[in-house]
Amino acid sequence: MNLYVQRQDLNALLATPEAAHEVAVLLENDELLPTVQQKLKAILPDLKIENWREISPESDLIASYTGQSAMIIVAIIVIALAFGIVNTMLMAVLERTREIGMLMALGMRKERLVTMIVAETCMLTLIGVPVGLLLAWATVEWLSKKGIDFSVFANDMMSEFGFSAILYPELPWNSVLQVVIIVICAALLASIYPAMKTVRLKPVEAIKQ
Amino acid sequence: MELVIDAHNISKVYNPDTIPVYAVNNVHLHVQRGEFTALVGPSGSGKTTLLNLIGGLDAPTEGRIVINGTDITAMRTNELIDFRLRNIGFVFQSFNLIPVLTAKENVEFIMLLQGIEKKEREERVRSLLQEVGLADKIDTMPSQLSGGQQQRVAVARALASKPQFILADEPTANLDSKSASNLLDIMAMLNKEENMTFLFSTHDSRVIERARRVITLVDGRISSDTAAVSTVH
Ligand SMILES: Nc1ncnc2c1ncn2[C@@H]1O[C@H](COP(=O)(O)OP(=O)(O)O)[C@@H](O)[C@H]1O
Ligand SMILES: [Mg+2]
Repeated sequence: MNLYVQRQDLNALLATPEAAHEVAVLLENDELLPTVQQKLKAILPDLKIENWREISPESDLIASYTGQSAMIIVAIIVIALAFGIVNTMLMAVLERTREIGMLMALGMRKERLVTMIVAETCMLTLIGVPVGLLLAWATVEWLSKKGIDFSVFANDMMSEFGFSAILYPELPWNSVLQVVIIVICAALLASIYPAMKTVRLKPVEAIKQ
Repeated sequence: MELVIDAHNISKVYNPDTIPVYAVNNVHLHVQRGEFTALVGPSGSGKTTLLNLIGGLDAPTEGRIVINGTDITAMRTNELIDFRLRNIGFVFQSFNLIPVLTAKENVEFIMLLQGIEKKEREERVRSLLQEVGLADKIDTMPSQLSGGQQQRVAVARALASKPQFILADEPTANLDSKSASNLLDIMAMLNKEENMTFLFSTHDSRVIERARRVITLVDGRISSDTAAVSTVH
């Protein structure tokens, strides 16, 4: 149970004018924590400077668990994404086996065909990746203003540990970069492999398919 | 006379290890420049296989194929691809145009592969599409063309590389009789006016009538050859 009183009243009751036994410092960003704590310790060597992880180890535990499970979910999504891309590119090449066979029959060299297919994939990726990024950025930007309200599900639970029930997401640019690299690699690998396989067919076999 | 196709006792055997199928069986065939020759025979008689062998799309199990003095039998893949590009024109039964390219681009790209200058390409595409009667369809997509028109684009494409001869596997099989006769008119005109050699397979009697030489295949063997008959006389 929390009870709120005026500081003057409390000071009068405790006969300790102008005193406070605890000051909470709210930071803009959790990443500032170690430096600010260091600085405060340097400035105020007589006081006990604790961060929230030290005061509430259970919140720290929950936060790190949440971080880990988020990593696992991201890994699963990225793997599913890679398979999706491989599948799309595989189909894009395989459904054109006939056309590729015809080009070989008419006189297009194998290395030129492979280059053509890979170049097409690059173009698709170069169009798809920025469009996807733009959509992701717009969505996160909108949600970061509006917030995602979890109060219906877990109002008490969230506030009990000092978290707001409304989350304001932001785009972590370094993980975005990782995903972009994975997407490009998956697309290239997924097109080179069937392209090499297709041009290894004899033109008559490819045309028949 | 100038020999352009010299197929020297060629055979093609499928499944040699299990149940061997002699799709082409010891065929000996000469085609001179300027011929307009039909390859006929029932379905499964080996017409497609023989045309693929002559066109360097498939390798014979036995025998040698000499095109315009060059033996193509032992060529490596890329060598053969380059040879086809410069020497052989193909027309397929199912048109096989590139769906995302216009009529003009379909004809032009083969010259692009040959490294021909843009100006020359443009002029040649124009005159070729004119010859096959499609001057007004130059920027049309294949999907907007009728079967007969698509096949005429394919003929223009085959001509674009200035090949030694054109191989056409059942070029009229997917066409109505009017389009078929129109296509034959164009092929005959190109044969007469440009001395372009045509070797085409068919089992349509109206197409066979138009040929000057008829080679009949049965079970992979030549069972009759009107040119051979006429030289014997
Ligand atoms: N890839 C293949 N594998 C096995 N047999 C084949 C293959 N291609 C063709 N054949 C057989 O070779 C014979 C000749 O076929 P094809 O040349 O297509 O005849 P046509 O074009 O006259 O109908 C047929 O008996 C056919 O079944
Ligand atoms: Mg056939």
